[in-house]
Amino acid sequence: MSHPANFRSLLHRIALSDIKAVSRYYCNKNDENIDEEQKRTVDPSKDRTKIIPVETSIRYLESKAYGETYGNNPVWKLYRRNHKGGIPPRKTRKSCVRGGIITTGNPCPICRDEYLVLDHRNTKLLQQFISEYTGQILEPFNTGLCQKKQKELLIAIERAWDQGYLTYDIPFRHYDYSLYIKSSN
Amino acid sequence: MHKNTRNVIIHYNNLQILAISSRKLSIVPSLYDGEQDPGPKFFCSGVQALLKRLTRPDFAKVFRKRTNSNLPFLKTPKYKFLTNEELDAEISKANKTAAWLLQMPPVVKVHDPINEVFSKDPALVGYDSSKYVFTDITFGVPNEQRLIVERDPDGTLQSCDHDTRKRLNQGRKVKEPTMFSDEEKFHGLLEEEKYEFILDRACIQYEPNEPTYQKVTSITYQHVDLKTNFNMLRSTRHFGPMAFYLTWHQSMDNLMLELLQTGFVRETVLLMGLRQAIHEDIAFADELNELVPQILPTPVQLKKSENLSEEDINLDNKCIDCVVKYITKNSAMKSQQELALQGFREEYQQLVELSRGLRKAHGNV
Repeated sequence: MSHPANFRSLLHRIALSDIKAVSRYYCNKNDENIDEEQKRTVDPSKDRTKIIPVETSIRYLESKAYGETYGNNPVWKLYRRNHKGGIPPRKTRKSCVRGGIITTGNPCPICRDEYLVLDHRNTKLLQQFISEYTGQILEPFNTGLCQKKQKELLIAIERAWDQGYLTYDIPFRHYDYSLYIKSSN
Repeated sequence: MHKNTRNVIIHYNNLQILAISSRKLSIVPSLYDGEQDPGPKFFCSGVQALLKRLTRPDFAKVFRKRTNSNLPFLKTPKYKFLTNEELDAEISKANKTAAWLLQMPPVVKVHDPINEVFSKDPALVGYDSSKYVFTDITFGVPNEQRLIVERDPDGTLQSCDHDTRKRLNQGRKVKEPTMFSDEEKFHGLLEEEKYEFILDRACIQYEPNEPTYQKVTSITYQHVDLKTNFNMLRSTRHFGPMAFYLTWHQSMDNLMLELLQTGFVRETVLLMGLRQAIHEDIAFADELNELVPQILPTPVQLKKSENLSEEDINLDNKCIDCVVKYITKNSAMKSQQELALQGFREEYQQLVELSRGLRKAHGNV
């Protein structure tokens, strides 16, 4: 009230806050509508926002439910990709899960079951993706995993090998005794 | 999975304190870093022959399918028709391959710290703030003998220590597996008895004269000794160094007991021969030195044979006499070993009667 500049800046601020409040009101109303619609339409079986701990996954692999679902097969055995033509494309899809929700039909073997968690401690699951004859990690072309889950699988298996949760046959090292005999003599 | 950790949550004045107590194994590693060098004893041919015989190689385990070839396909087995001579040649080839696969990692003492100073030039102080490392890159020089020197910022020209040498020789830095650096993971692996995996990985990762390698192997051997899991390491390349380690540290009585309980008297005598070779403290050394060369040519027995010839019986009786003398004089677990020997004698008596009866029934054929 003393300075016209101050008064004007005060008016400006009030107007701005009013505009912000009005726009917020309008935006809130729109967002609320969208959220409600989305909340209404999300199928709980496709919701992947909840993170399942590894211990639960390890218990699930020993449970009766797992036995009934998969039997003695590995989890990828009965999965079939959907594609045009006789030969599937060399690369699998990039990811089944976008924004915390499964956005594809026919998700990959790991994404379709929320209780299968790829972790270096979850050795029973990781073993299913390692060939029992060659000891190599199976390709996503054969197992059907999406590329994101394949990367997670590689990381988990490497960590398990490094920390000793999983064993593998180590390459043979031959020693030249002559080096050691000379040094000891 | 790793059952040796116990997580305890304590509530105290609304504060949650998580106390993690891990029941660690009380195994103290012991390295070959004393005055005595195990190298000359280990590499002498007598000791090598004894150790190889003690591993009792089972070809089914030695030649098992391994997945370290990294080929994406398997090779089908080949079937051949051979004459007797060709068969003998194939058998000798198989023996040579087995000897290659069962080559024992060397047992040597820990390498000495390198302290050689070439020159001290205080005039170079302040030239640069970092060390310079000079490496000789001539082709054909073995890595251990390569000349690698460093010039410190304070002007001293000295040869590099072992860690720097290893880093420079290998080129890229090889990260130490977590299972060796993390105590809990290592003890978890020992609890699950994956000894071959640990020992093979240690062989690849470290040199046999490094202190880390000696520490890892000594803890593993002591754990095997505690749990008497000797069978897991038989027919592998690691049994020899383990037997050597136990004999060197005078703790082979558990192994002796296990051999008696399972009924391998000849290997007991070989173990005594090994002790004599290393420590030379057995009283009846002359008899032992006579007996050991008689045992070594006999074939490796994996199962108890029913047809014992008279020579076998004589040899076994002499072995039993030696064992009795050892138990009275040098053993640390006398009562248990005597009990085991008694049990073995009864069993052996039955075997002798059975084989003599069989021979009589077959008309001494």
